Amino acid sequence: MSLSVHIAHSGTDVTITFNGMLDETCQLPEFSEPIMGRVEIHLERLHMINSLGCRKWAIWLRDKVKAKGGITLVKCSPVIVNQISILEGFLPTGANVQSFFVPYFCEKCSHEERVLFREGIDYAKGKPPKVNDHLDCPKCHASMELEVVPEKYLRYFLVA
Amino acid sequence: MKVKLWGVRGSLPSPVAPEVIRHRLEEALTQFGRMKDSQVPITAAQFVETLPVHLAGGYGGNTTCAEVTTNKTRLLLDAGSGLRPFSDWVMKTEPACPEFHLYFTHFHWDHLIGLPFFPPMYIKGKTIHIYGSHPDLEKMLRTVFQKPYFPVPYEVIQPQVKYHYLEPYQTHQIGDLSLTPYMLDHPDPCWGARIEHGGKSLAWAVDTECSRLTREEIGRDLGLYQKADVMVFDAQYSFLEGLEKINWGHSSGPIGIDLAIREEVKQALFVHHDPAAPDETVQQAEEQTQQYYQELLRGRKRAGLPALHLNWRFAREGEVVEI
Repeated sequence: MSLSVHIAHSGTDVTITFNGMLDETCQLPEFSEPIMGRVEIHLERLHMINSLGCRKWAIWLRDKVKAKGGITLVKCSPVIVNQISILEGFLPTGANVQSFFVPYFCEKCSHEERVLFREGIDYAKGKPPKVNDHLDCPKCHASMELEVVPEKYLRYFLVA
Repeated sequence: MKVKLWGVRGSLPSPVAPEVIRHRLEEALTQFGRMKDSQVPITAAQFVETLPVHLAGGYGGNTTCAEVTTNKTRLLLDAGSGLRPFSDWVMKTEPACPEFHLYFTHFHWDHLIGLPFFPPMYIKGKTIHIYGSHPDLEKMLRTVFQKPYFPVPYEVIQPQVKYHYLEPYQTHQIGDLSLTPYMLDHPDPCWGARIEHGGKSLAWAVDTECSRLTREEIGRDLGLYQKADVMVFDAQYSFLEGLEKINWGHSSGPIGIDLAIREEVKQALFVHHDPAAPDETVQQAEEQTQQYYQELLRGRKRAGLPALHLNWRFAREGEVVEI
């Protein structure tokens, strides 16, 4: 499972999309000049990350991504939310999370569902998101269980 | 092969202040009083097991020193202040021991500070074999035994000391132990060691930042870690501190976890605890590492990768590990 990185420019803004596994072997993009606008990093399809990759990522974000309009993480996958909550320093000072997924699991049909939480829509900035313990399974209509412990999973949002 | 950790603190000996000990004692006794009131029958030893690390003795304050033993050989790794309790013990139990073998990874103070307080160095007839991969071994020691840094002149210990330069990446025999020096990511430089005996191996990686992350970057130093039975690794910092202190030469628990898993290490012991961190803070770093490890296991399961298990912990002074 390797990492693919897609970069799209829109005016002065840059969108970077990660897909796959972030570890020590991944190549992160270099920007020869400071980015005048915003940098949005899309993380919906980042499935796996280890601490060696975290170190590489955190140093890259801090030292290599100079964005005058700031850095925003979008659609953070559960692995990213976990690392943000566990490893202080994963998210550099000044960067913010715009949206993230909360995972649910259906014991009856083994279906996994992710629910997107968006700042300003599903929760207010500076207020902890309210996450339901259960969700109706879209496949078998049984009750799905929240796959994470909210106090741990949402630690970043609770203390931010 | 048996390893005893006589010192697991990094950078500077860190004795616990009397007022801190007193405060901890009060806290422990208060907890004991509550338990006694609840009528739960418990021995003092059982009660201590229920206490958090800082109330149950802490991680220890002596700096790096370990003793590796087989039936025939004893090898000391580094001469931090942990060498002092080893000296006390060996002078009581084996005062006639004629020779000692001591390997230095490097000569930063925390790995050297116990040496002037190692009594066998001053006893005529004893032999202290000093090993290292720094070409100027003798010069390093002369500096320590030099006025005004230390009152006893070098000439007093000189007859007892024999130096052995160990070519890096070559395997050397010390008694029935095999030792191979490998470079660590630490300034000045620092040579970790892979120590082998009877098909078992110890990776001694006490001062390293692990700034070379990939297998390609680590290159031939990968041999230090690969399939080691026990890896003793630097976890001085939290993950965040590791990012803030680039090129300071120290690492964190999560980094050691991933390195150990990737290189198929069987057991990892984390040492070189930050001298600025009270035991409670070291325990928090251990808990953060545990959370990271558990999430790593869950992540692998979610990604359909094979399950794995690593036996690891933050080591405490005085711990003995059978390999």
